[in-house]
Amino acid sequence: MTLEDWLDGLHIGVVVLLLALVGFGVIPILSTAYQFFVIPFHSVRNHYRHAGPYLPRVAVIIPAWNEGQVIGPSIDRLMALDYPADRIRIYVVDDASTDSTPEVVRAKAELYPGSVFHLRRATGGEGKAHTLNYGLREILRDDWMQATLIMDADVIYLPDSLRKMTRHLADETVGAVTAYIREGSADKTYLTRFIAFEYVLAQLAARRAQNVTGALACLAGGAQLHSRRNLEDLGGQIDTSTLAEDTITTFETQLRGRRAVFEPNAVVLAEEPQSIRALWKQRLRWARGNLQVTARYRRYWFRPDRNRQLGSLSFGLQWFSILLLPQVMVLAPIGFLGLFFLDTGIANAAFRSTWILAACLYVYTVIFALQLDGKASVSSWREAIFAPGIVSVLVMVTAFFPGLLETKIPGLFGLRLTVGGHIVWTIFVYIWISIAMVVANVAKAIEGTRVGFLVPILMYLVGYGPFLCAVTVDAYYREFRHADSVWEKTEKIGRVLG
Amino acid sequence: MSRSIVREPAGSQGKTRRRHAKGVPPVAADPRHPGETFLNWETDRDRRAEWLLVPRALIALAFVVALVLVGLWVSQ
Repeated sequence: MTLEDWLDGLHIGVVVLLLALVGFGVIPILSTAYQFFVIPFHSVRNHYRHAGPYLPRVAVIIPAWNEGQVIGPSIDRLMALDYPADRIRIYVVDDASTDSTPEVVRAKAELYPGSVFHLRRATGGEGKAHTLNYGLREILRDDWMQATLIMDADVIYLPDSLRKMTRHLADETVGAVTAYIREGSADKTYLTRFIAFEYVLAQLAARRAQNVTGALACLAGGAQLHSRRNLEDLGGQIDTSTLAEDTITTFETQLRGRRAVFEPNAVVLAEEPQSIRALWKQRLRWARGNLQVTARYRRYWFRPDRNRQLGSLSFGLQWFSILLLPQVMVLAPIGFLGLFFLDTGIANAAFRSTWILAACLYVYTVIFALQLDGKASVSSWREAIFAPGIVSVLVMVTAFFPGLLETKIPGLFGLRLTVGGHIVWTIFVYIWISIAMVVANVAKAIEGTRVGFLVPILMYLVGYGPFLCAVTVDAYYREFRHADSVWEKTEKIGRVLG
Repeated sequence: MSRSIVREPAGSQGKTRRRHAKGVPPVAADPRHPGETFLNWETDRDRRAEWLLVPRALIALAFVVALVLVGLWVSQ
């Protein structure tokens, strides 16, 4: 073998390796495409045929720490639900609040005797799961409760939502039911509109797909209804060892052979963070929780023999496509860049194929999702269009219509890109998705400073998806360093529409 | 296995069943006690509404096809 043959072999080997990195980037696209492909099958594979008129005695547990501003109206709204009043009991577990929470709840207990109960923990601050467990111990003491609704103090259930959830418990194979959490702030900002669209995608779309495939990833923390038997099988306690107690509950329910069902027509309004830092804090907790869940259930991933649903290939791909997205957003650009320096033709073909696929999926998901919730769509259509970020949308345009942005449009104004400029432009579009995560960090860093007015502009340029990936990177870093798993509450001040 | 424990309030049962039989949506006289007929109708309505996912998917697919066609046309 001559040196030339050896170098040729090395060249081919490196090209294949770089193409593999690009291929790694295609996996989340295909996984999401599959998820959206199965959603229409929810028309035939849903749980409605097994649902029935069932209005069990429901104990509502509301963990509350300094919720004085929101807890009163929440209790009033719960008591006004389209549900037999004698079949609801509300247990507010006051986690040693230092504000007006105890007084407000006691006043409501007097107003609704026998229906509202104030449970106060002497010492608090251990986190939501500990607070919930305090309430669970109380309601499991007698046999009044037939089902338990775990919710947050600030969320608002639409009048028919509870009965739309309980109907699924008519089927005793169902252990838990969750609802659609809709972003419901009265004073919407660009950020809450991004979140509103995210919830349409992550719940109305993705959880329908999970209903079809038979494995639910997570019961929403603010809306999870459990049958008594399910709670008892779980040991009457919620996991306290991770930051994702709701996901652990979801997995444990399904691992014990019970179904977890998403009910898209039960709508719950929730108040979401309005600042980048608050959102970062909330999502960091969720992302770290997901990493902890991933480690805890390592024996089940891609092992259908251990659990048919949670161990399935489709569920595993969906889970890891989100969890490993930051790695994808770094490795795929490395692949593009390496190919660019080795073989421009292959680099261009790989780049165009990947981004055309991404563009098709993006158009499909946005158009499909905008039809799922009229209210959210009316307020969030701009954020839906720019969810991947304005720059990423332009990268898709570049892939779909080569030469349009760098040659044809500048040509209309008599401008021409130099050879050097063309190279810089090409490298920029190849590595943009990696840069996007860095810019998301910049947006967080400058919030509250003199240049804080740039944050919304950066968010629209970067997109909401890359922002969440940047949070996941932070989660990896903190888990790697074994940072404290402190349960930090997201501040809620009662901005939800009634 | 399934369970059903709902009792319709006195007087509403016959009324809602007749309306349902005619294809008219039953009315829940008391929203807190809507009655078994209404609850069944509501579940049936939600089940049927899920069929809308199919045309919605087709509409989204049509946009993708249009995008691809435009892309092909421009690249020629």
